[in-house]
Amino acid sequence: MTSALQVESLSSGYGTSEVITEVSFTLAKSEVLAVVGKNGMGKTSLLKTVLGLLPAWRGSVKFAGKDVTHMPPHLKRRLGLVYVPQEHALFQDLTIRDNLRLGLLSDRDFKAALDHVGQWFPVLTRRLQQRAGTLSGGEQKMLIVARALMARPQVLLLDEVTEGLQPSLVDRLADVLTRFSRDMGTSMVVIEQHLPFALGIAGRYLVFKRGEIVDSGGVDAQATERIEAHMRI
Amino acid sequence: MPDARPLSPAAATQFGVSRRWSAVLLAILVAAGITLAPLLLDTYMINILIRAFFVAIAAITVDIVWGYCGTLTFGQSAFFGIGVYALAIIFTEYGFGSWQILLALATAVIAAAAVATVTGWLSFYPGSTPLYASIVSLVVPIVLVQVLYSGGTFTGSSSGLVGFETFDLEFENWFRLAGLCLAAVAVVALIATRSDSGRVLKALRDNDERCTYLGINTSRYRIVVLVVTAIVAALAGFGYAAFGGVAAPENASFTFGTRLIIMVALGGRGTIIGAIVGALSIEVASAYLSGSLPYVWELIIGIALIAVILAFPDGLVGIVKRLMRGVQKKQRGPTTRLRPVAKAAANAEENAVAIEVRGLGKHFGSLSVLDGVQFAARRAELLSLVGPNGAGKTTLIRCLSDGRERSTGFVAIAGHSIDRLPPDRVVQFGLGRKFQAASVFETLTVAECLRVARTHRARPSLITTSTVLELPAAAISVVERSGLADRLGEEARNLSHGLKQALELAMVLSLEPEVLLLDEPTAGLTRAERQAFADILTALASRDRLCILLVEHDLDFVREISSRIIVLHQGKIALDGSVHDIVNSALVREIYTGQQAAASEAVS
Amino acid sequence: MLTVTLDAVTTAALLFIISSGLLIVFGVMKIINFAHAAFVTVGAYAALVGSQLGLPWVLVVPLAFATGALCGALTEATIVRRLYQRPLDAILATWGLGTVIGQLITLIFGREVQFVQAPITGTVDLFGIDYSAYRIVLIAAAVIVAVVFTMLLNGTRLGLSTRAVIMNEMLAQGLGVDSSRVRLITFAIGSGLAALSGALITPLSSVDPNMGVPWLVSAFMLVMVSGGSLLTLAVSCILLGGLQVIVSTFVNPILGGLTIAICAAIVLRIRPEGFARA
Repeated sequence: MTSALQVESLSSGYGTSEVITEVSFTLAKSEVLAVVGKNGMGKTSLLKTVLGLLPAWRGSVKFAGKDVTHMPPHLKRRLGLVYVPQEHALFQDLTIRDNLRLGLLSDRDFKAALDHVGQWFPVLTRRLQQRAGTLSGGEQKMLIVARALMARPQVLLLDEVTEGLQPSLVDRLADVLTRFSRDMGTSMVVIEQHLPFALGIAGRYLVFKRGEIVDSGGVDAQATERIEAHMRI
Repeated sequence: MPDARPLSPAAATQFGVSRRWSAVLLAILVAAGITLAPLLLDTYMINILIRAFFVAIAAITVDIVWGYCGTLTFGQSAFFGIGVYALAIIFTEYGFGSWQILLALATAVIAAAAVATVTGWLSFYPGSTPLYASIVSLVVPIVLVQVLYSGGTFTGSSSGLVGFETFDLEFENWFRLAGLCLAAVAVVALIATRSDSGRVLKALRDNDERCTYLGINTSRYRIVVLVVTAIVAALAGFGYAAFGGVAAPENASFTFGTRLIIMVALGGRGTIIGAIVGALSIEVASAYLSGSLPYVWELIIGIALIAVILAFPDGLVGIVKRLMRGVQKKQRGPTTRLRPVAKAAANAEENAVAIEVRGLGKHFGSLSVLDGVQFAARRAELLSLVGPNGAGKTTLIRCLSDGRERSTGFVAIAGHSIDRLPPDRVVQFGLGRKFQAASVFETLTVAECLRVARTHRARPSLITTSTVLELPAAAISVVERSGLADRLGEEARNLSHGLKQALELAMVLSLEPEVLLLDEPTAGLTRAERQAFADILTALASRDRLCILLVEHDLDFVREISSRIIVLHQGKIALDGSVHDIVNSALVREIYTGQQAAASEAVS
Repeated sequence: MLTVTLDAVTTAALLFIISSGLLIVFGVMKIINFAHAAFVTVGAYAALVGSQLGLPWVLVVPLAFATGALCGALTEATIVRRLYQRPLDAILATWGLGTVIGQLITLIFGREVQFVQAPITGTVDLFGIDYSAYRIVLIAAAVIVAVVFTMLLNGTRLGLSTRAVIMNEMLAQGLGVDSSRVRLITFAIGSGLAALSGALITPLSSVDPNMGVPWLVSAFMLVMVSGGSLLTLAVSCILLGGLQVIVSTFVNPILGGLTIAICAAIVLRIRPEGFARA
């Protein structure tokens, strides 16, 4: 069976400085992988390189067995690789409905997708005509995640979705993502500062430091301890 | 100069001397050529070239406004037209004579300056865009031509003015006069654009916002440049009409304004020489070709313009330069020496309040981004501002540095209320702001960037290029520690991300600020660069007694260097206290849950 | 007095049709298309050719739109697309293109002024005065353009993609919106609208290779002062277009022609966001 996403010796950077060095990992179908590490270590740059927003210098990205390293982002999106950025991820002046519509490539499946995704986000489906900018910070995060789920992505890349979120919402989100990955077979790469959340939904983790993977392993009872050991140094 | 640090004095002098002599030699050759050329050319060619010389002067003014300052202007023709009509109207109304000449000259200069001032006022203000300035510049000649059309016999309406008595000179002497005028304007323009003041113009083009935050009133600079170039263009028009004895509305039209742009674009913008090459070749070619191929010629010019913009944005001169560069490679400009500036009189109180904020709010409609923010910070404090994304940190920085940003509340920098003042005024109270993405002047060298940063402390010369760069000690220490000292002659765009950040910090420190605002200065830096940055900031606070306000994501970095931390959450100050109190608070753990709270326990 | 009011409304209608195409290009690409005037002229000549061929007016107008849209699409694909990073060069290049189109038209059709018969002649009796029937048609045309535009933007998938690109192009791309396609279509529609307005002007004025230019500056300023929305553009057209008619009628037609440019510049100087709500 081909893996959902296969990253091999990927390197990239800005200008002349390399921020991602020789990163390799594979992601199986419906697997959730947590990428952890301190800020400024290149985690977001990794996702951007996988997506193509940042051009890869070396290495390759394979999506469902197909080489997509140099494919433009909007085409990857069409194949089912969906990115949830950390900042400015909403159209504040569009309605919630229009924001959700943009999660799909055509309006044909909108009704069905809304029924499916909406069940987990009642707070959104009740206010479809409202402008996204009028939602609270937590609700906006929910909308971003809901929009990403609309297209039933093959692979979901999540960048710090829990930042600034209340603990109760973090738990809700963990629940939604776990169920979605189990029911729909979606694979996820989760970049997180929030360790309990990340390890709660992931089966495996990677520790990222200065653009390189310094440790990886399965999530078990000792995972938190091992990861924190890397963070302290 | 005991403190001067010569990098290579021998090279510097040799370079300067040989260059100066070759420039003087070239000037003499050009002058001789202009004087002798009429003996070799036929009358038709002389006639064309005389007009072309005056047009080239106008093209030079377009090059300064567009190529150097970055405002695409369709309007220089209007000022040329003002010169043409000032002469034509006064000679027609009052006849030809010495006082009439003076009156016509004065009218040309005053009218051009007045129109340019109004145009500048309409085009350049905080928040106006280059696109908008460009459209206004198109409106000016259109309005002027309409005025000329409706002027009846006074302006000659659509047929213009002819038949007035004017200067009676030989063709050959007109040629010499016009040619020497062009050469003189070109020399002055070359000297001025290469002088220290000229660098400021390029800085305006490269990065208007950075200029504003270096305390430069960019709108006023642009207006002054427009007025000066308008006067020169009007004098060129004056000469053109004096020679031709005709004034036509076309001389002021936007079509002519566009023609001037095309000349500069084809010749090569931002070079002066390119404007002359473009103007002379297009004027001569159209004199020969527009008769035989009237519409095809215009078509060729249009196609050539598109082709040049797409394929050779640097124009002919750019192509030649690129070919030459293959042959010889040299560092730009003379070498620069750094010298610490004499310390200003001892600053007032060492622990004075440097920032004071009361009841600050920022609202977008019903959405409140900042609300009731209140704090004060003293000199020598290193205050970090933390909080999740969207908490309003960057907005707060903006509200502190630009008086027009906040919706409510009071802000004072070093005891001065910033009121509703624009950033360039706030900077003069002693504020320095470093942006998140390194904001420097990409096409200027490191030394030039730093010199521009000194503009409001040391008035730059209009004529010379200084080889000594006086900087405050804090800026010199950043330049030396970062390794920028070895790359003073290099263009900023070739620097690495980390060096650009260091350069911007040095530029901000050159302002000798009392308050330093930094927005995520360590983002994207290597570990070594971060450590260097931490050392520099701590030294600035303790040794130079700066009040530093830092927005930072990295809690480790914050803990290492801060003397105090403010936590911003959902637009309000959630906590304000010592590093120890804040890092161990429940709220910070909640915001930065997981590893960072755990890490802080490990330390404490 | 009533005639002046009607003149004001019909002038505003014409200005709206001309500047709406400019507005949508400005919104998506953040540049002003200086070839807009040339596309107005192209539309006028398309109408001239169409009516000389004896086509009915209901076909002539779509023909003009299609011609303009085709020219616009070619322009975007060959010139504007390469200059996204250099907006001032982009407007200069479109200006160069404008002269090229103007000269080509001169070479093909000659310099002389030509006339197109209005599809509807005569006058209608409106509130007790006789008024040109064709000018009333212009009001209807402007309303149709506004309605179709609003429906396209708010009711279709393409409109949603376009609004998304206007608000945040990076984000839209990340969501799978093909923004270069949006730009191409936008530029084609904007140019098509320019040509459409050119066709609509022909019965009112003569047709000559430089006929688009006098409209250009007014359209630029209206777009700048409108601050980017279709609604405020309509308001700007009515206010400033009306003022233009008043000045032309009661003061002096030459000054009238400059009213929009001068008033808009002063409005923008005092209130940089123009007529847009803060």
